[in-house]
Amino acid sequence: MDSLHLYPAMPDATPSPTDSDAQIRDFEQSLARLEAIVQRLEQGELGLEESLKQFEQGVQLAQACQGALNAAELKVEQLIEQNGLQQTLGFDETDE
Amino acid sequence: MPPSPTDDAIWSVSALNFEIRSLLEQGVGRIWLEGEISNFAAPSSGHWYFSLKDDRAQLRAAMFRNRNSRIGFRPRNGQQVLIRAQVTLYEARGDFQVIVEHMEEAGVGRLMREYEALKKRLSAEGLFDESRKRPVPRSAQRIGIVTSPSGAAIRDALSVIRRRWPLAQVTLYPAPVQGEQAAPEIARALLRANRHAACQVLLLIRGGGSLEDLWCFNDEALARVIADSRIPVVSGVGHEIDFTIADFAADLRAPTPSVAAETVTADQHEVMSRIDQWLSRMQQTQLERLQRLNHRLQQLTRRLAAQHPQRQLEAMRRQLHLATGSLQRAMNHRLRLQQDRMRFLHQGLRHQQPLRLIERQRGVSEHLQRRLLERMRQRIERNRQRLQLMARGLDGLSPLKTLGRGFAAVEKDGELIHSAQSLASGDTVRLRFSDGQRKARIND
Repeated sequence: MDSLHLYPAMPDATPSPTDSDAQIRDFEQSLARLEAIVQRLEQGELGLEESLKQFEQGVQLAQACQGALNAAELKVEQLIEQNGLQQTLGFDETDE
Repeated sequence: MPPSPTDDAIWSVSALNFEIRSLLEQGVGRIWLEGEISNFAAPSSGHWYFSLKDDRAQLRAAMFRNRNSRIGFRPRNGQQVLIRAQVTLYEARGDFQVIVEHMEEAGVGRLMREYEALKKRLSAEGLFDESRKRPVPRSAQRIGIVTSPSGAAIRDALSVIRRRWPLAQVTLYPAPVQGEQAAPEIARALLRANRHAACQVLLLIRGGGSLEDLWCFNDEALARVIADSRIPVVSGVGHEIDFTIADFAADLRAPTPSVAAETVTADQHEVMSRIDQWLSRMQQTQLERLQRLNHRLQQLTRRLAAQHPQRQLEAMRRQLHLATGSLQRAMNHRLRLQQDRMRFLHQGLRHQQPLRLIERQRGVSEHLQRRLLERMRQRIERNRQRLQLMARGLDGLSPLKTLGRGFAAVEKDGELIHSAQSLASGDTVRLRFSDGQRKARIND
């Protein structure tokens, strides 16, 4: 335990929305929406204007997903319990 | 009963040893065996040769290089070990021996028996039933890991997750994975992870080690916590050959920590190529659609252009142009005809001009004028001669001649007085003589 790099303790360890949470949610939603758009376009029931709109949106979603994946950096934290209190710490795996 | 030469075939040594070996290998086969090592020898071939003994007996043992390189420790003479071995006979020397496949430091034998008993009990209880298993997400975004923060397992797992799905968020619930306190600490970490409720899946992992090292994963209380976890648990403890109670209780058992991490993460390259496929499907669909529409548009445009008023106007203009042309030609033709005719008439007219006639008439007129003047002169001359003749005759008759002979004419108020009665006394009269006149008053 003493090998850990400690970060300032958070007062409350209950899960709270973080950037990364939002990012993950966005990614999953984007992927789902992209898939839905592809299917809708392939069914060919949309009007031209709507299909162009959807197409543009699909391309944006795909690019957003690819961009998110390319830019993604694995986030690692650790949750410990000290004196009955939960604390979230950073985790530096190179720190042996 | 030894075979006698009289009633049975005579055995060769080889045949006997072969027979004995077969009996041993098939009759006894592979066993677990515990004993103390002695006469340990490790020649340069890399194989190990030693005796295994207890307080009353001993036997020869060999452990070949491909096996002994895996066990992670070097036996010493006098050391208690647990081995898994194949019982056999070394035919060339007739030596009864065991070929060791696996060796553990002892104490383990008792542990193994406990392990088997626990496994049997929990299994009977239904703790390992498939029906209890929760489905394990194969592309988790939030991954909890229960292990030691300083072990090889967390590094391996994180490296796999980072490579496959760097979008994931990992929460480490640290716990020692070795030693007396390991099992209850691991159980507490699992409970903490469940309370935290932030993850879709929990990886319970630990790197390879001896059976004793891994022993904390054979804890009954821990097995129950794993089985009761609301979050699916994937175990990855030790190496492929190691099975722990925790593995059986988990929802999915992975052979190693790396595989555990791989099992719950999507591969970003697959997802990328899926996105690429969607993109190109979308583009293809849309391209085809636009091409179809473009084709239709072109057709309609052509048809529309044919109906364009400009076109009709052009056609009418062409007609007008043609009509104008022929009209002009017709008029030109007509004009030329008229001109020709006029020229013709003009020429005719020129031949018919009155000037010559006038000229001629003028000649006649002058001639006549001259004759007229001539005649007039002649006549005037004749009349003058006659007048002279007449004037001479007249001269003889003139009063003036009378007067000349001494007569005078009396005039009153311009009138010739013919009678003396017509005059009263006092009247003034004019007396005209041949050489002039005088005034006179009547006084009688």
